[in-house]
Amino acid sequence: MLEAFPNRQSLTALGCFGALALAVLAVMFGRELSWLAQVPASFSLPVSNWTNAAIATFSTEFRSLFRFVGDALNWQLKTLQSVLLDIPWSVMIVVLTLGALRIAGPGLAALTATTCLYIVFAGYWKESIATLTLVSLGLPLACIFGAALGILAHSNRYVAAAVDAVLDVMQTVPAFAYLTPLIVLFGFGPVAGLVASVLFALPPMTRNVKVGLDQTPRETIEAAEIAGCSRLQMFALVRLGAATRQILMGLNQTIMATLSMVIFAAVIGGFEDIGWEVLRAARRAEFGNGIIAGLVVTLLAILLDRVSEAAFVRERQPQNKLSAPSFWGLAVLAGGVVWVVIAPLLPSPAQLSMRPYLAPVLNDSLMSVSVYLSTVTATLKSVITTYFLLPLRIGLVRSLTPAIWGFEMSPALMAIYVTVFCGSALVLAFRQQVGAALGVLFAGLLLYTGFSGMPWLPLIAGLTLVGWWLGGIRLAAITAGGLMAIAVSGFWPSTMFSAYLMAASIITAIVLGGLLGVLAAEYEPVSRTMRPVNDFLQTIPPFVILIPLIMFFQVGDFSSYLAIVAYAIVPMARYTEQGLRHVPATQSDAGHLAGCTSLQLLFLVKFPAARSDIILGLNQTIMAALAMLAVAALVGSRGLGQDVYIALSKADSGMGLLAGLSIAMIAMISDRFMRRMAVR
Amino acid sequence: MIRKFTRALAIVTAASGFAAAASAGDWKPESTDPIKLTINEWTGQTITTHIAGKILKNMGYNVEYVVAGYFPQMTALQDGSVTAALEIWTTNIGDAYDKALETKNVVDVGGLGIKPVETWFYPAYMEETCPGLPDWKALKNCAAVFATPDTAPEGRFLDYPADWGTTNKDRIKALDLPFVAIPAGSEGAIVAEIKSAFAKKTPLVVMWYKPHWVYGKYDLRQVELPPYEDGCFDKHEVGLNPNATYDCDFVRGDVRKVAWVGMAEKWPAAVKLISSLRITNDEQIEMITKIDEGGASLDAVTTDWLAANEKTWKGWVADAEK
Repeated sequence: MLEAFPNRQSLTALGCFGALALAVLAVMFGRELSWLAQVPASFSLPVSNWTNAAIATFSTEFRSLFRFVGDALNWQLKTLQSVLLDIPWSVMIVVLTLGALRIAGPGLAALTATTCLYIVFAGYWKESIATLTLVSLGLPLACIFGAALGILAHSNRYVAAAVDAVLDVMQTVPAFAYLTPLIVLFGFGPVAGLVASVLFALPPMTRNVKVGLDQTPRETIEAAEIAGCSRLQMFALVRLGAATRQILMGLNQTIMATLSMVIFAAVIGGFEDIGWEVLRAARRAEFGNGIIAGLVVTLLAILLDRVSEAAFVRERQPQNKLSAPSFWGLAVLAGGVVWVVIAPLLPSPAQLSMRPYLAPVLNDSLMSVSVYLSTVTATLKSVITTYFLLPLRIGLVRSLTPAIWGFEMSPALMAIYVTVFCGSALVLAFRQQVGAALGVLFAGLLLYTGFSGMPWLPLIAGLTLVGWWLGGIRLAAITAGGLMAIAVSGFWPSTMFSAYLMAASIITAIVLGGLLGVLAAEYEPVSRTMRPVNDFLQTIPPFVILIPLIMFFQVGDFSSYLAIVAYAIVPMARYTEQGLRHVPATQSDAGHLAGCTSLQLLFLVKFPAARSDIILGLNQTIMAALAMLAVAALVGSRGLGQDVYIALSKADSGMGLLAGLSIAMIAMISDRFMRRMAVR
Repeated sequence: MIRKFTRALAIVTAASGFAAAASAGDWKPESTDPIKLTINEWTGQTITTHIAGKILKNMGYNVEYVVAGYFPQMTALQDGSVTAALEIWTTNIGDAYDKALETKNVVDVGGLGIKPVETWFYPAYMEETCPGLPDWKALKNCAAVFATPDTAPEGRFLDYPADWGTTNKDRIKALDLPFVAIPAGSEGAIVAEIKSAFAKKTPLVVMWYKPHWVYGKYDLRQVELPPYEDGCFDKHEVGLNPNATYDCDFVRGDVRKVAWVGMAEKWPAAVKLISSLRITNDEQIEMITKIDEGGASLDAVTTDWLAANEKTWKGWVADAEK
């Protein structure tokens, strides 16, 4: 018995059982043990005041330095923008299309031309140029700083751990939380948004550079050492060379991240870009204009993604007939000819805009569809809210009432409930599955109290113990420290609300996304239809989908939940499909020979083989859901997302930053838990 | 080419400005550095700002319009990155307005003249399903009509976004109404709800404000809450319910104009002009409707206003140039 139980595991199990018992006590005697159930008011410290003081000191000390940088960037932005705007749209289309043809082939050249024409007819030429200006200035900055950080992280293990934590913060703290301090430092205008975009977009570059450098094959390094490379040569020629592929992958993700954040950062204003147009439409709930502007972003993102991807795939292919200088010479010549001969004859993009005719049609169609489907949508909302969302949020103890479910939690029902959960936990415990038994007990308690009624102290204790079991004293310290910091800053109730919304969305995204991924892996047509849908969901500015969500389902948790699911489902589906597709043929053949049914094959052979991909997908799903919290708050969810906005209106940067950091803290803890579980 | 044209235009504008100035004496702008006026996302604000901008240009100032987020502009005003913001609604700015004034870098330069009403509204068709409206007491018996799965058995009350600041939770409790306040996340969220409620004829009672362009399109009516009395928000004994605060309607809000503190030194006459600027509810609603519903251009509508109100704004100019 004792050998089967490593010491740490049994201690954890005992501790968790203790925490659960405490939690049950706290629920039963909520009044007497209120300090155990809710965070006591005296417990919170004026952390946001301290943060504000720190921000103020920092900004007065360093303001002139940041302002100098800000002014320089601003000058570059304005210059680049005016140069790009001076080029007639027809010339731009010709040159860009020829460029795409050279770099990425005829298919993508066609996509480039289509995108440009779409932008012209959508009436967003000027705004798109502004957005491209931001991207083309932000991208090199993100790449340079990202790569530098990556090299730094590669050089030292301790630096790597610190960088890792910093990157997590950069990727998960919503931009809304630090926009105000950025405006104070860099001055009002597009530069503050640009800086936010760079901060958000550099992590993928750093991560890929580090992984690429770390993975240089031993033999390559040895060969270089024999050849007598100096340290610098070794780095620049050997390691960087070997990491090229990984670095290019980082570049690709950095491009996408820059574009998406440029749209968010438009809330500051000062640049009249596409992001501003999207926000304007969202504020007026104009679906037509919103989707037309949003599609510009989607098309640009897909185009940049495919062209940058193709650029490094083609690198290794046989060269074209024309040499590079003569091709680009010809392209410039063609552009010049168009400029002189054709451009003056064409109307300005503003005159070609079809938006005034298209937008009202789109608005009306959305309205008609929402009216047509209103019974369906109302039923769907009512069923999911009643039987899924409400129990998770306020628990059966408060949702099981005649008004909501039609019957009450009578003592008899309560007895059955307790018996079922305790009984199954006992059975599992006897079978030595202590972890599962504890899980069942926890689920039973959670379902009873809901996230909002979950006693805080036992919860923190339990999670810390699990962290200790999974990752030793360090993970335990991170978990306890992080959660306590949230409680001390006064964000515990918001955090629990967000946790409920996240749990509901993530469960749904995992089930639906996993299912879609399996279908896509098994059936080619499903895969082909899903790719553009995934691309659309991942690149469309989320503000655009919020409008139809409200028209169909009204303001409230349900709309927020759907918004998060729509965004978080994509990584789950993608990684599941990818993982299942890459299962070695030998393994599935072996399964066939052993006489597995296709379901058995899926669950017993393919899922275990695709495990690491699926866990990565899970992790990305959690990150995506967290990233949507702040956006989902725009359709009326409460929680941490809403706190970020409240801070904005209170001009309380400290509070906003802390709410944002709480989101980052949840992301970090759940990420570390997932990684450890993946290792096990 | 274009630059040349702009310069010619500038000369013409300057000349006309000079002509106007000549009649009032030899008045010249104190500085030709651009005065940066913020443009926010909604039509009414854009109209107000363009009217002010056109008058300032007429005086000979250089005016630049800068798009700016509603909250970010309050930070931008503090260091003169933008010069003035002409429509700050006390109803939805939260604490950001007070905080900006506290820094002493931003000054209030008077009201705009628009008198916002913020209170509870409902679509006209609700009078059939909830008889007794617009009287607030009718809501007492209609909770079931307004209930949704997440609020049942209580009615659903769509509240302001939490960041605008709202007192409706207390109000609902004080008036003993069987309702739950659901905070909307944003202006767009409430507008989308109003649009879809009218299309589907679904029940709605919502915290909203006026003037707003939705009233031109939809028949939204005001709930008659117990009238506001001084002290009702902080004294139990005032108002309907002797044991509660907020047992009355809202105080009428205000729309303010604010400027960077340095504006008064750099462009004193421009500050004077901005502080005289007045627009009424009716004027603004009319212009908003012309643009949003009638498809007229911003430029045409504001030019019309200037032509129709020449005497008024010429008076402001004369005052400012004194």
